[in-house]
Amino acid sequence: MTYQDVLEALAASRGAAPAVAGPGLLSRLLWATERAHMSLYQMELGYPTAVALGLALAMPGERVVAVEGDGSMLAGVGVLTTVARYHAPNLVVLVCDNGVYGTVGAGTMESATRHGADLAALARASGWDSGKVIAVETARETADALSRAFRDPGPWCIVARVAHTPNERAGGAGQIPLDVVEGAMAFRREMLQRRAAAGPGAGGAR
Amino acid sequence: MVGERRPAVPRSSAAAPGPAATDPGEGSAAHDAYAALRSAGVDFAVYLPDSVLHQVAGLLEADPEVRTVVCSREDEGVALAVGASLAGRLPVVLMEGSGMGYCGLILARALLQRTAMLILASHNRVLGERFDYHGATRIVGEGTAEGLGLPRLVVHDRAMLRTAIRGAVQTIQGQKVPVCLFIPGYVMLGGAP
Repeated sequence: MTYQDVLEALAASRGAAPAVAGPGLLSRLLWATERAHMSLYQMELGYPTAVALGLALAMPGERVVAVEGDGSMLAGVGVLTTVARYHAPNLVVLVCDNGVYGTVGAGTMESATRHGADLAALARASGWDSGKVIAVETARETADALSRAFRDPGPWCIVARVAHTPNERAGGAGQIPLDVVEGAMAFRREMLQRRAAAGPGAGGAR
Repeated sequence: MVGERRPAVPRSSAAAPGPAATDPGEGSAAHDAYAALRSAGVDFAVYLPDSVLHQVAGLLEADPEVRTVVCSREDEGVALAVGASLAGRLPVVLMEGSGMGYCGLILARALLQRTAMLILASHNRVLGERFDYHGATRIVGEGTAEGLGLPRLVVHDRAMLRTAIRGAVQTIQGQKVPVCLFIPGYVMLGGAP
């Protein structure tokens, strides 16, 4: 399975759900797939899921998705315990696990998932509902899992094992035309419009 | 038992309370801080329990109009606050000063993309830090804020507390930046340095 398979499945299931995407190639590939401003791209390593959890808790009426690489998820792995603790039903965490730090250098330096670290098992061990932590290896499995995740209450964690090939590095994934400042402002403006459209109480304190 | 797993327990997003709130009373510094935060519009609070600010966290936790979250590390807490701020909430992050040492990168991102939040951090370089094991803690908090050029203030006198919080929130809303207030233990818990 390739990144493209996973991100196309995400695009098919996601609708207008806001996304927070991890750094590097993953964000560029997401942009190349969706070309939409509903995503906060190039979030710093280790933080996409935490930012997405903040969004999800602040906007319980919106389904929110974190799009993580394995390196970023490993860097911020403690957040899995916080997600489990607060059990935000509107949060989806999608990890594209290629087992390497693919954006860096030759893109071949292995991450810990190539050496036995199991992100799905870490999510379960952190207190997630085991039935909502799904490891997938094919495009079909990914599409099915994402379809459930955007339909049924979560939180969901989908760990998609993807191949990392030189083609994906070339991949046609150009630079995102919005820089992180412009992107964040466009993203926030969109969230505020949704909040206003949802009316008073959209934030739901608890 | 070895190998036994706890069964999954159904939980709601409203669950997961933090530490039980022990109301320190209306005349307390904690109550002053809480009241100032609420009157300024703070409606989202993230914290890691801390010996100086825990009473403020408890009061926020007890307020049904405030969404509270206990994070696993302070930089994760700032990232949560980034998400809340992007969603239009006004977040505060409460932490021990040591936690600021973890927060450089995510605070830099927040600063760059003009994400507003208030940080209340304990322990700093003012007088009154008695214990050697707070040595690194008292150095790193202001150092991080200073290095990033964040608006910051040491609230060295309890009489400043309400005004400092009000002013910090005005700065946050006007300038759309993270603002740090450092609050020594003697301000929050009493006792002269």
